Amino acid sequence: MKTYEVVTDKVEGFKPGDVVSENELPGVNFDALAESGHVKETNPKPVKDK
Amino acid sequence: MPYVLKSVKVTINSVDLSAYVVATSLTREFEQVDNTTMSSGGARSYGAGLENNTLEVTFLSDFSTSAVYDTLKSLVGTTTTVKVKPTSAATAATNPEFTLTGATLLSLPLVDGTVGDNAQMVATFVGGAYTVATA
Repeated sequence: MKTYEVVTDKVEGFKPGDVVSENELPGVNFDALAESGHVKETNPKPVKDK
Repeated sequence: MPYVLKSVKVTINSVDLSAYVVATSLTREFEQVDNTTMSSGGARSYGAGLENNTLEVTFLSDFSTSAVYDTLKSLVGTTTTVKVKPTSAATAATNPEFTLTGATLLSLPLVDGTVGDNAQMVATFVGGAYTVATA
């Protein structure tokens, strides 16, 4: 289960700095939420060097 | 009691975009199914088919970071949860929160208007399961 840090003050029920998991907001498209800059993933997979 | 729309709360994908909303229209609807038979007395008889809800929201366009465009651009062609309340006050029987879970944003007009207009963006979400909360 991924967790995300809230970045903006527009995410309903959360304030910037809060950590939210996918389970807490069922039905929400977290990929879109992250791409729009409202949240950022707290445990992203490291990018491997080639 | 009648009221004037002044502070409708609109949440798209858990993001409160109310500050950009100019107009909104949430319609709960069922498809029309023809049940007419030879014993319907010469008149059409209809039943309710599949639920087919629609939420249309008109936003003032804003392309700045994490505003309207940023929030909606990645939702086009996907499903999400959308919520509408008559006012921004706490959810109650007199201020119910309507939710469509699994609604799809099929298209998003990016630039649409006439010279001199306030630029607007109309997002239409279709489908999804309807629920209402009163507390």
